Amino acid sequence: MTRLSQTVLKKIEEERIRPYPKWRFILRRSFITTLFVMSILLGSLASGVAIFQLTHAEWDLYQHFTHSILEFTVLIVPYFWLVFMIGFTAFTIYFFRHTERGYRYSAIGLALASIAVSVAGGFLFYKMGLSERLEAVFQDRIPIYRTLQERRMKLWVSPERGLLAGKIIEVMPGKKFKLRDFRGNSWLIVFGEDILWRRGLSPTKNLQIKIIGQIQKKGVFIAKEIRPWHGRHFRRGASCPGSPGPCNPRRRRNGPIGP
Amino acid sequence: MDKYKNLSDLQLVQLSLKDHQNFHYLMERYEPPLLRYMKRTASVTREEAEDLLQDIFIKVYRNLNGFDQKLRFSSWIYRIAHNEIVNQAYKKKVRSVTTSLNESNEHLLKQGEWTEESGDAHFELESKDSSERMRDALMKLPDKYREVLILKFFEDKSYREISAILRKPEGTIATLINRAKKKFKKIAIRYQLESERQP
Repeated sequence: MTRLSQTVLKKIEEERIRPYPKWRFILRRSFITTLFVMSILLGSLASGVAIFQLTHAEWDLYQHFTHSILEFTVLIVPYFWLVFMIGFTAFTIYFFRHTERGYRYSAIGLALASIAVSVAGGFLFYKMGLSERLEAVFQDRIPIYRTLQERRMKLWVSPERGLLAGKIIEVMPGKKFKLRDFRGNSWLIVFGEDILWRRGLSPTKNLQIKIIGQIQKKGVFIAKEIRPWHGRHFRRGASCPGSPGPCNPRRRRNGPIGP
Repeated sequence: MDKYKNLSDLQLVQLSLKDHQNFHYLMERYEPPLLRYMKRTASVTREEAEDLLQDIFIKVYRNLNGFDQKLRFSSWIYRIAHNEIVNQAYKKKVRSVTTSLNESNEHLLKQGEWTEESGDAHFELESKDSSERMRDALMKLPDKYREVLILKFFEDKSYREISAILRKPEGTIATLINRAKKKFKKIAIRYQLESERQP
């Protein structure tokens, strides 16, 4: 036995050093794996909301907002969620590299794979409606997020450009309702001749909507087209009152008047 | 003792877990190569290297249950040694430098043949003088290049093993070795190692 190994063995005995138990290593690996999986899930959720916001950005109306589609793209990119997605992608890479085999993969390959997984997961969450729910929860409960989203909301409050958005506060007889826009102004909305109700909407109190139309006079707006503010999972009043069958979920002309 | 000599590292790990006295077989197996490795990669005296090696063996013993059997034990123990050397260098706030291509390394240098796989450089080092120049040249290399050169050409580790020791992808290791060879070649010319170059 060499002098060095004798010294080490003596130290092991004197200090009663024991190998760490197996469960400690299993726990550590499980912890890292859990953090890795959570990063993927959170990255996917962030990506899902970004996908939701991008797909509901009303690309067909870009000319109402900006001069070019590029300008519109810069305007509506969901930076908040992209920052989250990038952050969680970084965490995913970090935690994966700390798994047993993680070191074998290059950072660039991992980043690309992580982004691909986040986007795929995000698309799945979006299809399941989770992205929309999460966005709504953030809107309702996180004041900072609401402030960040106000820019987007206020874009839609441009009656002089033919755009209005807000919440229905009173449904009135005679093809009209009252709306409080996202800047807090009250409007009387009058249905246009050939009004188009998107995605099976009907006028319902507290429903948040976007309206395309034109100002008739101060405080009165003629609606040509009405779209939901949120997507399909947070819409109320989607039934067709007075109609025997279900509404066309995509498009319905001459929508119902108030109850 | 002899019957243990033929046992694999994994078998010795299992024996060590049953009885700590058996751990000395592993220590004796790895003491000479790890001492050499430390002296090549860290600016330590023999005493400091032995102290450091004690810490490394204690750490190895504590972590025996965490040994990933899919890895080679030698890669695992070199990884622990590498981490300890880096930690030690950080603690001492001294730059990790290659030192002793002397004493125990002399035999390596005398038989020392460092052949570039591409075949465009081939150094044969025969004298103490050239070993000193080699040491100086290696000292001029950044740590990340020096460590891969040492692991590849002095410790004779494969790319996969170096990858496991340094926890970097094999592609990165290949790139580092390639760049290290080029950088070393430039430095070697300055240190007149080039004159030793074989046609």
